[in-house]
Amino acid sequence: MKNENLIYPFTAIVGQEKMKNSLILNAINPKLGGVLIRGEKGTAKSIAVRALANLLPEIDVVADCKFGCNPHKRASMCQECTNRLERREELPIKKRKTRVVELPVGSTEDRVIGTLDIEHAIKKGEKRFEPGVLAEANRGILYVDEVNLLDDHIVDVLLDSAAMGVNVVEREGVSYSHPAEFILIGTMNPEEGELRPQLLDRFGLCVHIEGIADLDQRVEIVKRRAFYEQDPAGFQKTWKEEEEKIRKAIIRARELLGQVNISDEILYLIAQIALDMNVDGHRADIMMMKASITLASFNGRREVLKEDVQSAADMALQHRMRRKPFHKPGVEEEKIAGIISHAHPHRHEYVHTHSHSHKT
Amino acid sequence: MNWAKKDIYPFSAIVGQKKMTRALIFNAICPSIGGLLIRGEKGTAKSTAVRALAYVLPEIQVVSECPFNCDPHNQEGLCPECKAKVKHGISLPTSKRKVRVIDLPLGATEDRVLGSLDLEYAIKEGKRRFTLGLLASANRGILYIDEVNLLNDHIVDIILDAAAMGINIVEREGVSYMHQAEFVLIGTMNPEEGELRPQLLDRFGMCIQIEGIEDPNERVRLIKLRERFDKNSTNFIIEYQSHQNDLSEKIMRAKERLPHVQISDKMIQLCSKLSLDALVAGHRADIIMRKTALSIACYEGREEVTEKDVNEAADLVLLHRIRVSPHPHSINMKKKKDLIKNLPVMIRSRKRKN
Repeated sequence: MKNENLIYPFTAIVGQEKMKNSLILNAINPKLGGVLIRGEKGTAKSIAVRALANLLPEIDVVADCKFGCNPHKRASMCQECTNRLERREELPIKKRKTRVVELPVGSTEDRVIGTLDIEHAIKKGEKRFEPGVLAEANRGILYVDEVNLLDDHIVDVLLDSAAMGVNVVEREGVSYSHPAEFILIGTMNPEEGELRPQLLDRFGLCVHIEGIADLDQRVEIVKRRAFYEQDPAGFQKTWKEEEEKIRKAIIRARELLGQVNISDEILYLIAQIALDMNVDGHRADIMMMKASITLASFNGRREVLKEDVQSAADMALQHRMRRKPFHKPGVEEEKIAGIISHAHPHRHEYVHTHSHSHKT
Repeated sequence: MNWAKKDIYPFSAIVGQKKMTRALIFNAICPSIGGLLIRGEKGTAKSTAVRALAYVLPEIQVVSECPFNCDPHNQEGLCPECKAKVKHGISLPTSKRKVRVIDLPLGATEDRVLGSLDLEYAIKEGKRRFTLGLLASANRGILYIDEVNLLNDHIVDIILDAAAMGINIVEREGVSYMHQAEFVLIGTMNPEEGELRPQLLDRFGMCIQIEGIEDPNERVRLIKLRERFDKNSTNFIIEYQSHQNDLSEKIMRAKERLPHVQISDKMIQLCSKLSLDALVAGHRADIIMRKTALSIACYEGREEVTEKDVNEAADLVLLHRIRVSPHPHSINMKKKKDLIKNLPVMIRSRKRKN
């Protein structure tokens, strides 16, 4: 494991604004439900995710809890912490960085969801639950590199707990459940195959990235990388100020988040986009709403504007379009822009003027 | 159960999806309908609805602290422990509590589903003892499987077996045990991820297909509610408490009335006729349609089943049982057109072969 302190700084990543934005949005509002980064190899996907953890503010955790429970939120505590509170014990609190837990593609089910603690069972003859990766990821980031190559049944398990925020374990004689609220971040190279639709939908946002075509920027990337490899500590120092700036911006946006207003006009616009783009279900609407609010707060505004919706729609719809044969997943950005510019400012009651063809 | 503690979106605050919420309620009123399969595209509140259902379910009488939730008034169906108590003249302590929703996670292993040898006890005491599995906890309750089409095949087999008989027979690891396992099976699935095995499909009393809402006003209402819930879930739940209580009471009253509702011979005939038209296999459809119609009448506060109730019931019961005739003109195609439109893909492909 590399020294955590010598991670490549987030702000030093050249270009890839979409990806950086989507990650920052998730850092501001964990309820956005993660991001799927689609793109070719060598586009700083993994670096960005690891660097993100450094930007996240520290969190309060129960010091000796395996699941890193939030000491201030009783409703989402694990069984042990709840029991301790009921016995009126004081919970020891400590601060720690948000974790990035990596789920390797070759993981087995027992390590992901947790299993019977065999050592304890043999030595003491008692059943005990041994937490897995999902326990570790609670309140942190679960990072799956090459998520499209993950084993099907691991994906199923992941879907199950990502949806509920709880990991329910019923295996090998152990019956256990614990909180598993994590930001799911996945990266994939579409050349290696697509993701299953149900899993795609679980990612709140999705961005598509490519290598940079600009010559100067390419040179800049190589230069920065060389500097970093030669002297990581020195490189970090140069970027310290930038990092601090964005960290502060995230904290400010978090505070502002609860105060952002979203007008009916904007909500109708969101619903209209979802209808016209012919998406499945309602998760797209909800995600567009959340992403626009978060964007507004990041931009220091208390009001959601149409431009927020435009960028939110791009990230929230990317992977939710009903796929036609021979079509790659993606959004027709012009179409969204068209819907937004044609939206009548004061029309609250929507009139059906489009006929939608739905799959039967 | 841990997630039960978490703030769950209230059942009465679900926007639209009337068909799904009603079907769930009918199952709560009359558990012998035999469960519900919800098929639908992603993001249509399938899982939300089932998880929320637990909070509006009626109460049942159980033997206190009996792991099988035995019914104290049903002497026949008592578990061995309760039976032994009755035999020795000990009166059974009873209490009332809500019907439980038991979650069957996709990663569950066979031993936890069926129950198995208590290893800890065996090692420490050198004796055999049975530990109960999920099927025991689900007795007289609801067994919920999210993404049921992705469940492991051999777990599916076990559940089928138990669901068919209402009994769970365990013969494994040196333990031989048998207990009641009567549960309402509720499953949700996204058909994009693959179909369900036909045998399992038939085990669900009802099957419905749901889609996102088309009306923009409703869509906006949905986003707004969701936003308010996310901002402050505790307040949101308190706000909906009275709606929840009303609904809970309505279900309770309907359940009490169920034995007294009448169904005329004409309506029973209509049930059978609809089943015949749909060319269903066997008689399960007729039986469940009748029960469903009765629950609908109860829920609507009627004394007698009307034609409307039977039609609604047919809509819920026939979708996954309908078979297409090799002679399409022999059935009333026009009437069944919308049903056929929503046919599970599997059955549709059979049609092509024909």
